Parts: sequence; structure tokens; C-alpha cells
Amino acid sequence: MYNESEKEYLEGENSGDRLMSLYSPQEGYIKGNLFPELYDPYKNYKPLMLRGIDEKSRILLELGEISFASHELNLYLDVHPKDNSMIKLFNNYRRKANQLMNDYENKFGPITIDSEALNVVPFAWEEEAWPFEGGNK
Amino acid sequence: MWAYEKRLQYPVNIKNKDLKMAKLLTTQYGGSNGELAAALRYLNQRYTMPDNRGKALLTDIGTEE
Repeated sequence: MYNESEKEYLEGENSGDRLMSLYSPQEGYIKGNLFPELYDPYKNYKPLMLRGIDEKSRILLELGEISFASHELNLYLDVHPKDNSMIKLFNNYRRKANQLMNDYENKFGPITIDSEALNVVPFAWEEEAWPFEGGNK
Repeated sequence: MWAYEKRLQYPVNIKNKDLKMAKLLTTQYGGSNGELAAALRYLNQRYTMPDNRGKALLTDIGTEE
């Protein structure tokens, strides 16, 4: 199905070096890219370092960073499905994102409609303000 | 096929009104070459992809957009 050079690209890959050169989730998040070789700065713009102002925004920020990293690796793995070490890293981030999500939901209310935090009256899904109306602040 | 999360992908804190900027953002979001149009293109083109790589990638990118 693939031609030879593509096949080599998919299978002959040893990602050890690539793994070493990835941005951290924090740096990747503000740059919008986990892969340094794919990041092009815009003019002399320096991305702003982010930090939370309270517990809620700190957990939410970390959740954003880790989910971002996991999603970047998700896209990478779609086209490099045999990259062992990246699959390991993806699963680390995926697990950590799930933990953070649970942590946030237990303290501040549901993020997904699958959440255990929905087991309350009144129905918690519509209680919290929507993110586009400042609900994540 | 989709579920959504009740949180933003990136934190936003708007301090001032800026109509010119708002206009640019609206165009980037919903204009003819905006995110919405791109998302729908990815999600429709994925039906013609011959292999799993292509189907997965276009679905994941379209969803993110």
C-alpha cells in the first residue's frame, strides 16, 4: 500500500533522538507545538509564560498543558503508528491528563458529561458558568 | 461521534474591547478560510481517504479545529 520510501519513514524510525528534543508540555503549550523542528516564531513575538492565580486556574492550566501534549502525540502517532517510545510517552500524558481531569471535577464540577461529579442535585452540568462566559476563571 | 469538554483549550482573559481585533478574530474563526471551514473540509475529505492513517489524521485534525 505504501511505496518504499514511505515504508521506511513509517517503520525504520528510531525516535530516541526525537523524544529527547521535544518541548516540555508547558513550553509546547505556549508555543502551540510540541516539536521544536516544526515551530516557527512569529517575527519577534515571545509567547507569554502562563501561571494560574488560584488552585482552580492552576489545575486547569496544567490540564490544558498535559492534554495538549497528549493530543500532539496523538496526531504524531496517527502517521507514525509504530513509534514505541512515543506511544509510551503518549500514554503517560494521557494518564496524567485523566488524573488532573478527575481532580478538577471532584473539586470544581464536571468538565465532561461522563463525570462522576454529575451525581448531585440539582443537575451540575448547567450550574457552572460556560467557559466562553468566564466559567474557567 | 463527538463529545465535548466544558473547558477552553487555551486560557483567555479579555481585558479591553477592541472592535477591529474582534473583526479579525471573527473572520479567522468563521470566514471563508477560517477554522470552521477548515474543520468541515477535513471532516468531509476523510471519507475519501484510502487508509487508516489518513482517516485517523483527518478526523483528529478536523475535531481539533
